[in-house]
Amino acid sequence: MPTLDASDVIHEGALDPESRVAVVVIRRTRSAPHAYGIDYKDGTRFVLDGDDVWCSWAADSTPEDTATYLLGPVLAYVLRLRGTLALHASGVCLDGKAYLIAGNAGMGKSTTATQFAARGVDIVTDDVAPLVWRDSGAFVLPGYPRLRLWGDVAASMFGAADALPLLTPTWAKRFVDLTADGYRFATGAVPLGGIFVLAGRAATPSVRTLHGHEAAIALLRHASMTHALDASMRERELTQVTELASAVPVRELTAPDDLERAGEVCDLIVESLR
Amino acid sequence: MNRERTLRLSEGVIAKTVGEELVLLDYGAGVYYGLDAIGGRIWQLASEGKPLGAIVDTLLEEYDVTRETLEADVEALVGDLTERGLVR
Repeated sequence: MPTLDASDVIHEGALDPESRVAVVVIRRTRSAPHAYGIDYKDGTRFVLDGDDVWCSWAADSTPEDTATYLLGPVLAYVLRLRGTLALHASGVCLDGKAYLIAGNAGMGKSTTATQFAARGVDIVTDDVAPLVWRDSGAFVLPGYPRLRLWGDVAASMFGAADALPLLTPTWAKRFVDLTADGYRFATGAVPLGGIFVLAGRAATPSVRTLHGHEAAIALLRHASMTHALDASMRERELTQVTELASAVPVRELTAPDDLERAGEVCDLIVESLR
Repeated sequence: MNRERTLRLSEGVIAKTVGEELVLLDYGAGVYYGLDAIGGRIWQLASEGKPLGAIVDTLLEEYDVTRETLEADVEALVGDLTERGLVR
């Protein structure tokens, strides 16, 4: 594993609102400008060195703990360092197109995606949505076949929290296995149809279309790992997001503040596409 | 309004158009700003080095608006941009 002796801190603080460990330190080595280190406060260290991702972890961590970091913020950062835009969003496939559901932690991205999964809809990704451009437009790359839910959401949707397995033995978050019978998971890139941004909760759910700078800024707020990018990467991100906001509809969603009514968000999304 | 004033766009501010509008990123502060179509046009003309008087004259040809209203709008925007450190 490469060392990070002479390095500059490029980010210290909250990595991701949903991160298990709120504070991490990201460093860039002086001797090898393409080598980055990510130190979690629980002792887990990742080193990104060109095409290699190295990792070491504390004795009391489990492989599942490390996988949670790797599959979330770490690979999102690898994508961003390679110039791939990734949004903090879940993705579902409707009529052959991917629709992203973006939003802050706790706003209901995975809950909404799970509601769609229960209806037999293909899931494209959960939490990290990488976007690539091809001749015909923007595509969403699939993530891994799991949806991650907190225990109260699992209890509401599946009858009991322990109806779903724990993501790791040391954390309260659970997961839906999309390789199980009855679920569908996208196996390849899916053309992007539009983006819904979960912006708040209200008694009556609603949807409105965002335009111009309002749409672009709504997407910029939900770009993965933005705070750990340098100026040239941020400029590239701005270009990608403004192109995205011009290419597909961006809508703002207000969800009901009641887990029992989570299905109404799906109804609203489907209705808005008609 | 000082018609001769030329705005100097601050370093570290990145601008991209989206449709007719503009998104600004103040990289140092990590803050995004949005400008509507007229605000975006004012930014574009300012970035070409045009003084405020020439910006107002250009916009008067492009929009159906009185000089008095336009000058007040340009002054308000310039004040806002200056206060936020986006122009000097």
